[in-house]
Amino acid sequence: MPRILPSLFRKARTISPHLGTLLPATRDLPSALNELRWIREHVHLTATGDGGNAASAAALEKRVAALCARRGRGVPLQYVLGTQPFGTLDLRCRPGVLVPRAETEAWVLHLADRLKGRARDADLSSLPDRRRRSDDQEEGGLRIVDFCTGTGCVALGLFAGLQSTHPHLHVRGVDVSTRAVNLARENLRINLEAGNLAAPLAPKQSFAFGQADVFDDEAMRGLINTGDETTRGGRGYDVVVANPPYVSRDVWAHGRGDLGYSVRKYEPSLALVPGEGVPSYEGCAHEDVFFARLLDVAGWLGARVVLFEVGDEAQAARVLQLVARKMAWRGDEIDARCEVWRDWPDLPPTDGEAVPLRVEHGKESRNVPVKGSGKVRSVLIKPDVRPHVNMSRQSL
Amino acid sequence: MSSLARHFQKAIHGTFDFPRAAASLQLAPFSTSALALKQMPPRPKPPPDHELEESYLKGSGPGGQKINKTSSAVQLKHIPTGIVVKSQATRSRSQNRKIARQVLADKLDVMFSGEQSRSAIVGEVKRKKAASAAKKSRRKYRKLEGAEEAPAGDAKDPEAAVPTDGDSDKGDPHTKGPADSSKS
Repeated sequence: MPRILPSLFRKARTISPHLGTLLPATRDLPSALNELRWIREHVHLTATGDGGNAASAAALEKRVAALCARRGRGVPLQYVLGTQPFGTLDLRCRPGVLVPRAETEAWVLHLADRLKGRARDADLSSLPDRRRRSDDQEEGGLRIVDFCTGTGCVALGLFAGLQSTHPHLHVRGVDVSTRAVNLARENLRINLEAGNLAAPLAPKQSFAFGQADVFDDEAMRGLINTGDETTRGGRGYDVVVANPPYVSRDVWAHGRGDLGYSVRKYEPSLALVPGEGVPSYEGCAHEDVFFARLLDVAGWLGARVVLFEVGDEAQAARVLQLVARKMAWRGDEIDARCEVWRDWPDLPPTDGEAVPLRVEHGKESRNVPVKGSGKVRSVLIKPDVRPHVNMSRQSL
Repeated sequence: MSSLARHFQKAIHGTFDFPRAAASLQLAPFSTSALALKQMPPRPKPPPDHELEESYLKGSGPGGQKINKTSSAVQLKHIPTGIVVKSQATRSRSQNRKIARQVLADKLDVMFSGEQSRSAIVGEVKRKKAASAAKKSRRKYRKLEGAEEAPAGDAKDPEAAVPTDGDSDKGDPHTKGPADSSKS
């Protein structure tokens, strides 16, 4: 991390002492100015909420200084202010739960557009497929599960984006951490009250968060039957999404110039690095273990669309290899059924960003299409429909 | 429900939320102009995406879970005119994209519609309100000061004859004379 020059500190302080406080965290002056503005807005907004007397200017300024001090030490701004906007939502953030990233927001919004048939590539709007069991009481329903939901941002974002176009819509968010599940439930309640989200129109629409460990077979089996009490028998999910822990132990322990200081110091490792207790899979790097497991779970749930956020291009390629192995797909199927998305999937690619991703499959080398602009950020997989959800099938 | 109607609802029910309002309406929260703006011409529509070139600040870092950025600056260029708009107004990239598009739409509106643009009309209404408020307060203080003078049903507003009262705006409605009672 390059040193901040004393001259920059001096310059910052001539404008406001708070900028000098913020600079170690924000690294540059324009960012410090932005963050000071947001901190001020937040203090003034939350101060006028206090019934009785308007807080004095001095008291407000004192609060601004306190928040700047926290932020200056590296505490993520979203923990300092307690919120982060996400799409049309305003999400509460708290230590112990990962802060929603703008990159996550971008793929969530784009996935919603694809499911609605509103993006340029419209193929996902053909969900749900007509090849459903005949006792399906919900022709045209869309069932989505978000694993490692954290603040609930992905589940909430998808529900918000789809609720008016999908009269049959069931969304579930799952996390192993009760802290996260509680926060996600709070975010649902708060955004409903604020009108950012309309209440699900029961019984055809429903939304719920629950605690579960993705590595617990019993819990995953239980998912098939939860939430949608109006139908008989087991119901799978059409769409499986996740932003699971994907940072390697090496990067977590040593940074490698790859991990933000404030992330490492203040955000929960549970959300970022697969733990020591997770099972290991043959031929699977530790940081990819959630992807291996969630691909299995997605298979059991009969998912037709799977989207995972990934850390980088190399990890995307490894995930695609895992997919190819598990699905036993032919090379051309890999290319046809997978996509890689960059940070901003709806922006046109620049300088070489459209070059397909090379995935080694046995002796051949496949080319998976890459969409959008920015760094490689997520992987979209469209598996076959399985006529019956079958939990007895063991993979790996 | 349109975003304007939704914010209006919130203002009535006392749950007005400043940051979101500021982001999407660019208004001061507790102003009566919320009512007036209902009668304003609708906001100009942003140009279609194919006329736009959107870019973002290309960071050198890793992104995703490994970095927690706090701002998402958006830059929008309108290809046919070359106009560039940047927005870092909010902490939300999706909001900033909307704001940038709206700001661009407003600029194009001014460029092509001049005095008929929404900005010009809104600006005019605000000027009228400000001038009217200033005029009322001058009248009040003059009354207080000159209470001993006959208050006389002022057929002619002494202000009307004076084109400028430190108000240098062109087309000041007060020069139109006392018959124009819409500002009282």
